[in-house]
Amino acid sequence: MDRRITISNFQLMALIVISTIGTSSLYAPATFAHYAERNSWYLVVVGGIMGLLNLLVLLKLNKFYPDKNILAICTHLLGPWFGGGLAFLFVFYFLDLSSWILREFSQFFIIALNPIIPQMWYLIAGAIMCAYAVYHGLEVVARVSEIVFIVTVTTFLAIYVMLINQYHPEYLLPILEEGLIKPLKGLMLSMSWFGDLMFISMIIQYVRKTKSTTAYAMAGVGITFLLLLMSVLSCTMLFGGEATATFTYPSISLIQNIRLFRNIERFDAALVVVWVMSSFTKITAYFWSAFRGLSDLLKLKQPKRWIIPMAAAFVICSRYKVWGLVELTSFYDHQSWYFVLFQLFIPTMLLFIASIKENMKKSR
Amino acid sequence: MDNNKAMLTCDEDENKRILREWMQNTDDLVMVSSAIDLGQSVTVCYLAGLIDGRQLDQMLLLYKEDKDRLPAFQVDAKVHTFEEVANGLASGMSVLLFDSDGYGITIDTLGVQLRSVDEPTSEATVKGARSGFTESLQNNIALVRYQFASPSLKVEYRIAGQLSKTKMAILSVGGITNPDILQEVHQRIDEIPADAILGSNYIEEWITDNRGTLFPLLESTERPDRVIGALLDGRIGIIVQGTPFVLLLPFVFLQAFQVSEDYAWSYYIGSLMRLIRLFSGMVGLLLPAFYVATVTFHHELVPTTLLQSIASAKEPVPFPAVVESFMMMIAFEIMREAGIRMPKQVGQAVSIVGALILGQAAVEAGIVSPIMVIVAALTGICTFTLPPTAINYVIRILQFVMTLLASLLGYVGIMVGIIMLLTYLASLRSFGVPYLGPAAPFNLSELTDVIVRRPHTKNNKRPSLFRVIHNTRFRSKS
Repeated sequence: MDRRITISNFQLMALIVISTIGTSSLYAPATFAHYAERNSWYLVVVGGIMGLLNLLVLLKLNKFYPDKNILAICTHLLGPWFGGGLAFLFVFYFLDLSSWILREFSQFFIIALNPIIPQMWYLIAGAIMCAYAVYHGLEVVARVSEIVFIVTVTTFLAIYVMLINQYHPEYLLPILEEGLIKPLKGLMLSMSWFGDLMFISMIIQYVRKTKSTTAYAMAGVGITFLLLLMSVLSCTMLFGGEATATFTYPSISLIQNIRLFRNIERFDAALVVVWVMSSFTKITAYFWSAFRGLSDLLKLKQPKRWIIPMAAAFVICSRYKVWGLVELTSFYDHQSWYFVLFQLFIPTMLLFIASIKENMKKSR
Repeated sequence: MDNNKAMLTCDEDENKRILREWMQNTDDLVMVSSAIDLGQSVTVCYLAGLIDGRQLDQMLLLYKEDKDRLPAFQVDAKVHTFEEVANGLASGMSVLLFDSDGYGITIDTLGVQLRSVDEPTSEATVKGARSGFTESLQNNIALVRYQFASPSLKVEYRIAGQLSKTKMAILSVGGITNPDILQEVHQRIDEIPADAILGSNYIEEWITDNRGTLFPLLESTERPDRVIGALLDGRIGIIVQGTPFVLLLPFVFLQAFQVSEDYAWSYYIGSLMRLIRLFSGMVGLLLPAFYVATVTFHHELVPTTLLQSIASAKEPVPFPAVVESFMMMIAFEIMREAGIRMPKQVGQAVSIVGALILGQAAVEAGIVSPIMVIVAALTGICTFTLPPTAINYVIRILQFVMTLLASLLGYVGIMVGIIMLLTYLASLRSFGVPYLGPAAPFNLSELTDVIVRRPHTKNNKRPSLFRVIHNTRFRSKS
């Protein structure tokens, strides 16, 4: 890495939005509806606030140590042994998450698009696509994500707009009839989705910082929030709370309801576009983070050689991780603390320690 | 002879002998001794056929009348070595050897018959200038200067090719062009080790950023107005002697969809044409792949009535869709290639063969389905809308890759292909400028003059993409 990598604020925003929205918005409505039925929008709102909080923690941490990524901060704060161990845990988390998303990526096609092609092919295609991007480095990924951002957001908006004459706003009533606390059962899950932006703790040191960096990052969370809210709302308004919970991918059913000029329908191809593009960005972001973390921690001399073995490992891990979608979603559902732990709790803890340490330095 | 610095001698016969040896005893070397002045004789040397004899005569007469006027028409300074004399002769100069004094002077008398200024065949326009570049370097520079009569236009000569000694001119605009990029261009041109430069593509391959890439990282054009437009955007032009194609750099991907005619029409029309070109570029890239993916994997996405007609048309065809589409695409490429190579007189034969045999008869024989013929024809026509840069060919090559991916993984394969293509494009740079700019890195205000065309009255900013020094074209009076 001779030249210093820099990415722009807009690219940061694009990365945040796509990696958070793309994959979750497809089945988020169903899972939210499972917890809160027609009030699932409320879960999104609270989750969004938590997501903003999460972002602020990461940004604050970056303010303390502007040229360190989260792994370096770990070792800096907690010493080489304990901190190094934590850093390894983070790398493991990145690796693990990449293979989870890769599995999600392929699972979607098996279920929603075409069960004929073996899953392995999808996994391999996905892994090659992402490994290729990681090989070219973060700047390239960031540039592609800008295009992906524009395409994805426009497609989502177009989908919601085309359904506008089929909405039944009365499905949302009565609003929050069970109080503000009860629907929060699914909060952990909602947080874990918004918390997907935590990979920015690895890339934020490369962002060309201006005054508006924070604003852009927050706008990223804002756009994510709005799109997720729209997807939840339109599902609820179209199918009602209970029916939404029964779908695997409510967004597909949403698209299948679009009909133009009476017989132009089935815009599923649009969903393929969005899904491939957003999964690509998300996997690549985590893949890159894992790759970067691994090469930093082990001080690899030729890190690029490790991309192919890593990609192969992802394929194998993803294939045998779970046996199907049911196990996959139930893991997301019940073990979401695992994600939130790395997304929010550990960074918060680090921030705590950092602020104590900095205060002590100042008082001295 | 071994010594490259062999000086001219003061002996006439000796000079003639050595020079003849330097010129490989070539038969078209003419050396005439003539007494110009009393007591002083000169040897006039030139290569027969390469020079304009009338011009030489005129020069000699003028010289005889008034010896002091010689400096007025001599082009190069005095030459003292055989190497200089030989190089001068080879590039079309006449050399007067003053044998008694041991030096010579060169006179530019190049008189070769070249094509006159003509309408560019590869970039014809309906509205707009009709003159295109020719093979003459001087004339090409003059064509640029004629429309861009500004003292800030800078021309720098360079010579590349150890044997061919090809002259070229680097065009830039002082106060606009970024000197760093210009410096980089100079450096790369000076480092070309090739022995011969026989066209602008030779230069392109030597100075491109990425020699392994399929995509052109430099643009070439035959049109002076396009060169001037590029110069005003802060880009650099390279005119190579002997070719009407002028190189423009840096080049970004989306410029492949622009033609100079966009600026000759009103901006609504220009923008619409540009959008159509972009759209047809995409269709050209993806339509066969989309068809193959749909027919092979995703029948359920087609409206039922359309599916019925596709299925019934495909029913007699024994091949899978991917084989069918490859056959048609290859047939189309062959016809296109034949169309270029073919003498004009037999052109009709090929179009009849193409239309009847490859179209109708193939369908009736049940080799390809009619839908596939439509797809192949539409794809082919779509790629013709693009200006004939190398992108055109790249799209046709990638068509095949995309179709192959589609036959393996359906729509997912196409998307994976697109993503990898985007990744690759994003990783390219042309003289330090990101190839996908201004789409990525995203810049909305600059995209308005790339995807569509801005009105001339609103076009007051130069693209910052090319790192121009002076960003403002004009200040609008409000």
